[in-house]
Amino acid sequence: MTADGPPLDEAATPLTEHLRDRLSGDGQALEAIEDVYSPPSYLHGARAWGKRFLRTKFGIVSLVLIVLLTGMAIFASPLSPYNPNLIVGPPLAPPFGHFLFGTDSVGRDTLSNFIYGARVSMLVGAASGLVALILGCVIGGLAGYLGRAADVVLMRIAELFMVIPSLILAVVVVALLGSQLLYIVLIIGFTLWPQEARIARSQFLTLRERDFVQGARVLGFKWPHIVFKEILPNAIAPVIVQVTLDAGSAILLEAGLSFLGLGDPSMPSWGKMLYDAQSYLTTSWWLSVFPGVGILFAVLAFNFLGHSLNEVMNPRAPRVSALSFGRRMVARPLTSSVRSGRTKSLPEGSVL
Amino acid sequence: MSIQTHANGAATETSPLLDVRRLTVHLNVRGREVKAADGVDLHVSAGECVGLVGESGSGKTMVARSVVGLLPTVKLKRYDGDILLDGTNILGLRTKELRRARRGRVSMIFQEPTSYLNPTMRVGRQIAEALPKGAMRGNPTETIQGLLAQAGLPRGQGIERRYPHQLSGGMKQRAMIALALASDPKLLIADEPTTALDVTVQAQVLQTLRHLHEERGMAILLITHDFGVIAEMCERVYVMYAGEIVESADAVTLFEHPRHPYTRLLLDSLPGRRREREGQALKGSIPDLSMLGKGCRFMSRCPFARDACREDQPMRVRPNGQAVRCVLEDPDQSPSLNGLSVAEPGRHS
Amino acid sequence: MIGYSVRRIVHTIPLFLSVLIMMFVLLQLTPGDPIQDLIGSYPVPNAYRQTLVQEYHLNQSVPERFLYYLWNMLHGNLGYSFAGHMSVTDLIMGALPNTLLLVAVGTVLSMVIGILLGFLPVLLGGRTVDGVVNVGVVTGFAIPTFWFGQILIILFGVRLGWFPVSGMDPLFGGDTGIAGFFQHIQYLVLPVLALSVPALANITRVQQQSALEVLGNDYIVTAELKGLTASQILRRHVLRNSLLPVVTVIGYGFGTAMAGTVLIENVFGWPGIGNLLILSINRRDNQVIIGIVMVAAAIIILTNLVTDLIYGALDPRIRAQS
Repeated sequence: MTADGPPLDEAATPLTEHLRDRLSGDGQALEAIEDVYSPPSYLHGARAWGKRFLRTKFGIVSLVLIVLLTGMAIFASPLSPYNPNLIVGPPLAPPFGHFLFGTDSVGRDTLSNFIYGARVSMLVGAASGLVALILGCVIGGLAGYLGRAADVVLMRIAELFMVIPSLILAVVVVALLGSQLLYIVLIIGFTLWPQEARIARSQFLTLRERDFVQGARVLGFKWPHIVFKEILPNAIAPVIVQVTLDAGSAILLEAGLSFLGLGDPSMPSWGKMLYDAQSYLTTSWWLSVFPGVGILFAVLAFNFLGHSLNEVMNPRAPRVSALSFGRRMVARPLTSSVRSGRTKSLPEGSVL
Repeated sequence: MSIQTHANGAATETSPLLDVRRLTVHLNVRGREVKAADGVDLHVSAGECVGLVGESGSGKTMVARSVVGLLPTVKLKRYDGDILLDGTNILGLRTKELRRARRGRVSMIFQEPTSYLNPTMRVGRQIAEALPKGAMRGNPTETIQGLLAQAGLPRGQGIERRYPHQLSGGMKQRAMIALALASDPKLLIADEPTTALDVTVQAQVLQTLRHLHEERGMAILLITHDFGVIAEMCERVYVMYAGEIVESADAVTLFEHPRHPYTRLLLDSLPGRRREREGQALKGSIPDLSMLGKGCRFMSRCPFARDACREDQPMRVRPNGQAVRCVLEDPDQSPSLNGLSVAEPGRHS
Repeated sequence: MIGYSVRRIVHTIPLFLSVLIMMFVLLQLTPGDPIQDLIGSYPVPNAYRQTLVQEYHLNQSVPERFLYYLWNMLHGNLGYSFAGHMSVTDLIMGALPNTLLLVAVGTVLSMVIGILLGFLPVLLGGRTVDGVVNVGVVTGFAIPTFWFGQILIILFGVRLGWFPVSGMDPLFGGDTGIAGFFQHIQYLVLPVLALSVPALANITRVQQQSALEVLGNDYIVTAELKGLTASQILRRHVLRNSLLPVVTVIGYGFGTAMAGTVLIENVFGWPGIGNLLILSINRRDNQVIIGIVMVAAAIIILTNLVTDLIYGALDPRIRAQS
């Protein structure tokens, strides 16, 4: 330890910095206090998290997919061979001919519509996820932090939204209020927020009791500071995982809405392509296959992202597998049945 | 050197019930090789109550689990040695044979009874599962109640129909004991059976165990970090440190004349003992088991450490059967250091 | 257990009411003329308009209208659908059994297969089975059900001709009795398959995770030390304990499946309330829309309640509390 005190810990929060100012010089006392008041901080280890994230299989795949899809969405104009709305060929032309993905019932190019369709899906996925994140954190955080009456009321509201299935709610609201893209994003976000709220609430509930929060209160910090600077950075990690998964759900919801004819009519959308395809299933399979694959991969991208984030933040214990049936034995922690053979070096998790 | 360097010290009449020879278990933890147990020798004869004492991290739990065949295969890097249970070497057996080897010979009870009982199954049924086949015909309820009674739980209160969460900590531990007794084992391994219990309940459970030991002639291998428990229950004691047995003796000798520096310092830290010398405290903590080099593992904390300690130390057996893994036992080592008499440690009457 | 059940049951009433309130608020926010929406595309003569205003209490305050609606609903009167030419209740009740058939069969199917598939990697052990099941689960979560339905139609309906492509019954004729039963099953197969995918994925995943979690518990060690064989342990200890969370997932999945029918019925032309909902939306038949939402909400609240009660009965820890 130098005369300036212990080296700046990556996990320093505003509280400990405040304490450091007060106690500079007394290194050991500061260390002891840091032990007690140092909260776990996901955000501050961001660089380390990032590296581990890229090491997981899901992480790389999801990143690649997202980059590809976002690229397709942003660069739709130069990428697509034709204007998606114009009639450019004979109707119902099969794919792998002049038109790579074929044409639809009036003669528009399916490939161009496919490329432009990525826009709506990625946009809705990200934007609705954001809406759900904000709403969920605010409502869930309030419920968790304030507790008692506020908690009960807010959670009842959340339950209300959970009982009505998202699709039905979205369908009804869009049908009644209108189907502009903004509405769709907001409505989908509104059907999804209870999940985030539940997680945010339980995080706030537990973190509220932790020493570093109590310490901050004792030191006289006002609640906005405590909530936003102390609790929130530590609570937000599992919420973000849920948000990525819900982004996938948002894409499915938007596709569903468009499929039912309730999507934004001004934009090409994979769901709308499936709506067109519905009448021609018996003759033109390409109208259904390509847009569906697009939706599938967009949702997979976000699901993989959430999955790998989850693995990074909650590393799982080594795989536990089943017991033996007669002869075949599978590795399990705390079980023996080690074959006779001295000083044998076993690879981890091997099947014996 | 004329010192005997063979395995254990106590006299062996017939072949012991449990004979652990040169047990070595190395684990792979986060990429590093952890030597959890190294060359461990211990034995338990029929009807004996033997203690295995050490701090957490000494490897005593690993030894206990190995004896019943519960090695963590997922993390296992290397294993060696023999574990002879009533003559059969269980190290290296496959599941079916292992099951057969355990039945009627060894049972185990654990520190935390709650997690070792199925929360959705009635206690009586869980005990019944441990009964030998064929006992289920007849009247299992009678047998089960009998087992519970032996474990100290009163009859007629319908305890066997209860679920684990409806029992107190002490009752759960007794239920576990009843369960362990169901297969009529010759050896019971008790891994810290009273550590998680209240002090008053501790005494009662220990009494039950002693009763079973005496009435049934059941051998017990008692694993603990609590010398008080050892003093009350055990006839012989093994002391473990950092994966090795460092001392073994019968209980009286160990308490009155401990010879290994670790044992001496450990006993000294117990309240109520007259200190050998004021101010000798056990400093530091157990070494990192993945970074052990050659030589005595206690060296870094030993007040008597010297150059000779850098060599690997075998066990040395004294005429009275006490075995010590320490270079100080060698006659050519100088007697005193720091004003402490090395030759005759312990209380002077 | 009693206390738990009573609390749960009582809980449903305010929940149902709040759904109704929300729908009402939604209606108030809707732009457009309610009378015109009721009638449809035809112009409304003034005198008739007055009659309707009276009948639907449109000149009274919102809370009063709410109470009238609630009163009527409790008497089974959900309003009248001009576009459908019958009472809303009749309209919905005509379509509801078809949807329930789909959802019930789908739930049973996803339950049986899901539990099996979820348990399989645990049973067999080994990385390949585990990997295959996981890939299936991940895909099942990401695939749009209505697209899957279309693919099923293309593959099995059109290409292979094994199953009919839409509808619930053949358009003409149709057998009765045993032959009719099998004929009906043919129509069920594809829609049920498409509908059950998300529930199947969820059940599989939860069952798998639950079984693995149970296997890592200490009482499994006790069971092995007792001398039980692997199959005995799996049957008596793992299965029962791992099923507990799955029960809740199955029950709650019923609600998700009901939402799924909105899409599936559209793809397969199945005459259920999902189809009716879309039809009513296109016809701006608000009475029916509200009616369907309330009926669906009631069914879902009910199934959730039953699920919670069953779970309470199964978990001895909840059973013991009073």
